[in-house]
Amino acid sequence: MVAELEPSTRRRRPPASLVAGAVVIGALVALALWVTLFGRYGVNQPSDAILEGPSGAHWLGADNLGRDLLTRVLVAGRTSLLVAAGATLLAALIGVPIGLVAGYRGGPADSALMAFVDTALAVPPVLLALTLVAVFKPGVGTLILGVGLIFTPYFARLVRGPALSVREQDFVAAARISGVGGSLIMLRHVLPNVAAPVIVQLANTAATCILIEASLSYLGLGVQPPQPSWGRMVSEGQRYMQETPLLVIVPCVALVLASVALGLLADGLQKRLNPRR
Amino acid sequence: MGAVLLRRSVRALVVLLVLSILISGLTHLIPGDPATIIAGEQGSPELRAQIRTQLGLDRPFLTQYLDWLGRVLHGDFGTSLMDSRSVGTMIGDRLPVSLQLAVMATVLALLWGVTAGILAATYRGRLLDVVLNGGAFVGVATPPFVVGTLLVLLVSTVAPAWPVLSYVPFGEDPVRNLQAMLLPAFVLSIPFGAALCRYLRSSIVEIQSQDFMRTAAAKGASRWRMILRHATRNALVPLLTATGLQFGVLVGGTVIIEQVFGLPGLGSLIVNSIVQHDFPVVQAAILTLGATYVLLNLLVDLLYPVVDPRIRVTGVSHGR
Repeated sequence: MVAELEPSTRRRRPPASLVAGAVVIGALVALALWVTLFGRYGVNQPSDAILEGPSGAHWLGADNLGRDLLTRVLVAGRTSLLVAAGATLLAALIGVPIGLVAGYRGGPADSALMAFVDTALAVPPVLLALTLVAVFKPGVGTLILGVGLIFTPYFARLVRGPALSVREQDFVAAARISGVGGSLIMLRHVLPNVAAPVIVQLANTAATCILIEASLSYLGLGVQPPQPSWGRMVSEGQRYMQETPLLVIVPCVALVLASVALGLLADGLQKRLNPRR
Repeated sequence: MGAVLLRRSVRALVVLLVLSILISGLTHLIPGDPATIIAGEQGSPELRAQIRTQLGLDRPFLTQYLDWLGRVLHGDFGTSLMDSRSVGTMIGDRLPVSLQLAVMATVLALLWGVTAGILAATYRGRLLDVVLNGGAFVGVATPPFVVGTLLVLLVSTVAPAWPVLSYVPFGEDPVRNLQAMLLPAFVLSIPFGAALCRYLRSSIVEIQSQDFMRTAAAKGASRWRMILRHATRNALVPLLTATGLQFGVLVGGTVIIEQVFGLPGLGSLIVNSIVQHDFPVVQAAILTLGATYVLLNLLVDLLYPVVDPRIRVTGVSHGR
């Protein structure tokens, strides 16, 4: 809407935070792909370089089984980003329709859905995640499903308000009078109007998901070995960190880099899509 | 105000009830045969039968839930599947450690988070603001276990004498206890304080553009008087809201930090019990943490009228 009033906003340079976040995430994805396709070592390939420091053969050194640290940290990034992306998309795919229906239809459906959403929002995410991993076998699938479900209410809550106010707009009334069905109105008229906050929330949720995944994996309740993940690498490296500090420092730096990049991405998207706030 | 409080209390009760249903349904959700999974592949049929009876898996869910709830309300959390100890005693032993950690972290977070927020707002756009705001951004994005692990590494290298991984109960040796708790509490306060700093900065900046701030400036109030007396006081309500929201992060953080620093709190009890499939302990510990969180938020609701007297009179806040 704003873009039509001010044509210049379309050509405006994107915020620096958006560019920086996108570049770092893009680089992590590209490096993970590169190391999977062309890497010199397998993720779980042992060698004699046990707990050795950086060298020509192992640029960042090797862990207690002689596995190449660089290879492991990059492949772990793939797992972390996959879980974050999967859980975030799942949350949006379930949460957005719930919010749309609740906001657009109103009435008892709205009250019931929102009562459920408010209750779910009142429980700390990590507590819910622990409850879920207590029951289901820990692993990538459980993480995506569990963390995704935990963040579903956030999307529903976010979409519901705007959907409620769009419903009262003239163009929606016009569509309804011309005989357009409810689901088509939601899809064609309401959804585009709530797209901007949803996109920002996608980046925000991904940033939180990556932290929850790493924390659970650190506790041993997330990604299971032999699949590497940043959280798991930190907890495994802790035993040897006095002699080989890089074992914990490298995955820590990678995790903070990814998390800050996703935060910057969210910040930049917010500035870009919602410049007034 | 009374009506608002009543509504909040009812809501808190509903949340606890839903959480308790979810938690007591845990054992029914386990895919496959829970008794086999808990007893392990080698478990004898007698052990499985015993576990089934103990968890009430042989009865319908509703009966089992009501029975469990009734016992919990009488303070009976059952016994551990591992060593038949009373779960209530185990929780009672460990809750004080988690509470001490959470209280210390909250105090630390308020101390430096509020100071940093006020300073960032006062020197808006200047170097100090950029540094504080950037630091807060990274602070929110860094999980406590990363800072904790790196700090353990740093301290054990720089100051090997500091008791990093040796917890002592407060009653035994208060000084050593506080020494051992200081680092974990500080680590836990980082995302908390960073979030408070960002909230406070933006609400003070917003308040600064209001009419009464211009009036205060016109009548000659000094810069610090304006910031502290006029802006910060009005920013206390959003600050309180932010604190309440951050308690969720705090509860999750305690679970992880206890593991990093080897503290015998509720969090490490939950993690160990999940690994051992000790469900009565998992259920009770998660419910206790959830109840603590709900109570903390109720406490925040009670503090609103104290912080903003206008709420006491009208029941609504003008400071958002």
